Amino acid sequence: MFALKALLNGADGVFISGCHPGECHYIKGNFYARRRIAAMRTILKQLGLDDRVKSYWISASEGVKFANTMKDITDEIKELGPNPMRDKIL
Amino acid sequence: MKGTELNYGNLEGVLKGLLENKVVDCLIMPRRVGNNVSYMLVRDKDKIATPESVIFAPSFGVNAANIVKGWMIAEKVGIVAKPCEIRAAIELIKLTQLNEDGVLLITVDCAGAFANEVYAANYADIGDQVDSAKIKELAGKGISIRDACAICDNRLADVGDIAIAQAGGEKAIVAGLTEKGEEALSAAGLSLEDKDLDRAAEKEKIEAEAKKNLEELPKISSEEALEEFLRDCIVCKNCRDVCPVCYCKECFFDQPLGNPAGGDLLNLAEARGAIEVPTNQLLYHLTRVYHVSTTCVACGACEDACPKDIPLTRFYPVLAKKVQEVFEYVPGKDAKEPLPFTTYEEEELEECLR
Repeated sequence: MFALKALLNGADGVFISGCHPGECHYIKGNFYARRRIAAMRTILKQLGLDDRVKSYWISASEGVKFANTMKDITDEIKELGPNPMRDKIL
Repeated sequence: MKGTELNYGNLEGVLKGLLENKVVDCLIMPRRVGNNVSYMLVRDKDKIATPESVIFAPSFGVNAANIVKGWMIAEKVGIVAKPCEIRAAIELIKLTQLNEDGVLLITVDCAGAFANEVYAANYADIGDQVDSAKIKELAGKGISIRDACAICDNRLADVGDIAIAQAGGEKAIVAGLTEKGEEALSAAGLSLEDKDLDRAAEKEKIEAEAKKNLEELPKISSEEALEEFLRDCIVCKNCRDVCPVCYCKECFFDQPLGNPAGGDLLNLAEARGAIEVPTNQLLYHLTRVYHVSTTCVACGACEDACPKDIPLTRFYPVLAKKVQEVFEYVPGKDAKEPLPFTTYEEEELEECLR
């Protein structure tokens, strides 16, 4: 819901991340999270709203991967341009 | 499977038998009200009269499962309803919103239903029951079943504890689908024999028809289209209240954050320049569709309840089906299968995150 809210409020992109499945502090947490993300993104895909949502698994010790991923995502989002929702009266 | 074939006239005895022999403490079942059909909660068996004239009636008013939502009582409630309603009850059991030991789920065959006001207005043409040929004939006269029923591929009584299946003519097959169901029927005084209720060919035909109808249903395929679709929404939340599987004790959209007012609203408008009011129209529906996406039984009660006649079947069941396909899950189909959000596999779904 926070992802939906961010998009509707005009965020240009939403990044959902966590440790790699199987390596969660909460043991099964990201296995469950993956299912929820998949459900939400399936809905957003149907409505053409999914382009601005990104999800990757990156652990706390993967600093380089995190930086590179963020750079890639920033480039992808820049290509999409500003979120048209921002100027809408919603 | 154990069951028996009965004349329609004997169904009354079966239902009365369930009450008389204390198999259940009450029954929630359809009753005739003039030209229309509604539900009653019955404890006195003598209040049951000619159920065969009403249990197959192609009329949908409310989802019976919504009536018992949250009933964690010890008394045993028998529910006589259509497959979508029984499937919703099974989802409620999985969601721990209904006591499994406290219900006896009795499913009747459904050929597809008319909105109850359409049914009542055209009772002379529709009658007590219909089949697919009759539905086509009525559609020719401009009397159409609900969109949710047209796209439904689960119309046969094959879920719950007991099935009441139409066997052609004025005959019905009453069969236990679970051990509980078989025991209940025996306790109600029926002598059961081995019965084969395999209707694979019929099911295939229904599925093909449903698929075709789903493809023909107008699509909401962009955010702009969704805004247009929801334009008349007054955020009354009726669609939530009648939804059998929307069950949060306190809905986010009834709380200050989800339903801002006064100064909060002014602050939001300050941040964005202007906001739509009543507020959170889009967020409400998107959040709700996500919330019910795995458990939506596609009964279409949301569409029936919308005071602004927004054809919500094109939104809730259609989007939910996409999510259910991802998890290969059919809500209410299998009482033992865990809810998709309560289980996982170690290797899965990565393709959905790209």
